[in-house]
Amino acid sequence: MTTQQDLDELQDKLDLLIISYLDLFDEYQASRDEISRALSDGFFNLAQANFNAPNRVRYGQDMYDNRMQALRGVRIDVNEADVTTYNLKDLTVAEVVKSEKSEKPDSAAPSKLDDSDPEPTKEKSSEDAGPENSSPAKSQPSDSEAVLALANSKSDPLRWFGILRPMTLGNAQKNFTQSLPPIMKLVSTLDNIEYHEKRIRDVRQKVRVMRRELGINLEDDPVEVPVTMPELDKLSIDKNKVGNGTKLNDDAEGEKGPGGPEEIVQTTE
Amino acid sequence: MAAPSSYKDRNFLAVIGDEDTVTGLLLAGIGHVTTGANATRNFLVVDPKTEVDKIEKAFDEMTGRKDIGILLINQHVAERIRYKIDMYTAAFPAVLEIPSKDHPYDPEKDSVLKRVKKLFGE
Repeated sequence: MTTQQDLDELQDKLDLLIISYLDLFDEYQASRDEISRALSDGFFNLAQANFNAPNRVRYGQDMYDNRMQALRGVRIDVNEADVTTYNLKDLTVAEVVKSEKSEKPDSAAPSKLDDSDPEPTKEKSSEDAGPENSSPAKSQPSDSEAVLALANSKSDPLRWFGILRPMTLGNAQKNFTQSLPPIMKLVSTLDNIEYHEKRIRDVRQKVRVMRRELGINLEDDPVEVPVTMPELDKLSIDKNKVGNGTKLNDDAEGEKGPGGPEEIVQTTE
Repeated sequence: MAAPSSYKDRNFLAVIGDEDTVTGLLLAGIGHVTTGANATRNFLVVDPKTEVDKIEKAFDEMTGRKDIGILLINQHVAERIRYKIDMYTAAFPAVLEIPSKDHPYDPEKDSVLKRVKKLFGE
């Protein structure tokens, strides 16, 4: 038997879900802003690099290396509630470490996966260049790190564009790399938003049923507007034009019966 | 719950966009050309002369690949194949529209904003 208390509890649950949903939407907009900012800075620096390029070359598709291998990728995890999270993954480091491990099964090479650091490879290469790496105590890890540094420096996409490249091209690279973590966050948030939408719909449906059982007026129920596809919107605009057009023609031609064009004009108005 | 096999090997990002967007994201290190006889790329450079057929084909090909986790597409390019984007419902790869140099992000075309409006009956 449904009681008013059950209904109140369910409505509280719905409120909490909506609050959580709006929080997610806020996160979504913040990530959007962050991506826009990083990309915008990247485009600006790329434009400056093109402007300052020696011999007026354009840093674009003509200079891509067709043997390129991805340095950064994505790691996907799905939890019990079917919500997907996307994280940035450093592909080259993972692969090299993996191959190192398979070659030396007893060496305890730590995993180099790092989601938060946008440019771990560069930092490692600069660290490895230091003289302290020659100490025998560190010989085992520094060997593998030297391999990593070499592999990563060779595959750095900046190298496609030659040695005499403007500094702004490097800045553009940083900006675009910075746009990747918020992209991961945004895609994860999107999946969570979808999950919340489903739950809100389910709980709303339950609230409706409970209200009906308790005989509560349903007038204040949220009404969902049906989604109009862009194509349908265009069609309705065209219909307006056609409706007005036919009316003018009908006036010129004379009467054509009570239905038809006049009805269309009325509905569109 | 989605089977791990459906997403475990999806390691790459892909991009369909104008030259600057693709160049930038390749600089960030997401570009990948598969080795072997049938070398495939995970990016497509679109300019105003690129035919819609070619964009559609690239979109189908990239969404059909089993190694791509996220497909990034410029919002203005997505507008050219809007019906395909709207019809796309698969869980993987996730498709995300991003701004480009000449076409900043337009919230009016954002499908998430449309969905929020729908949910709250505005």
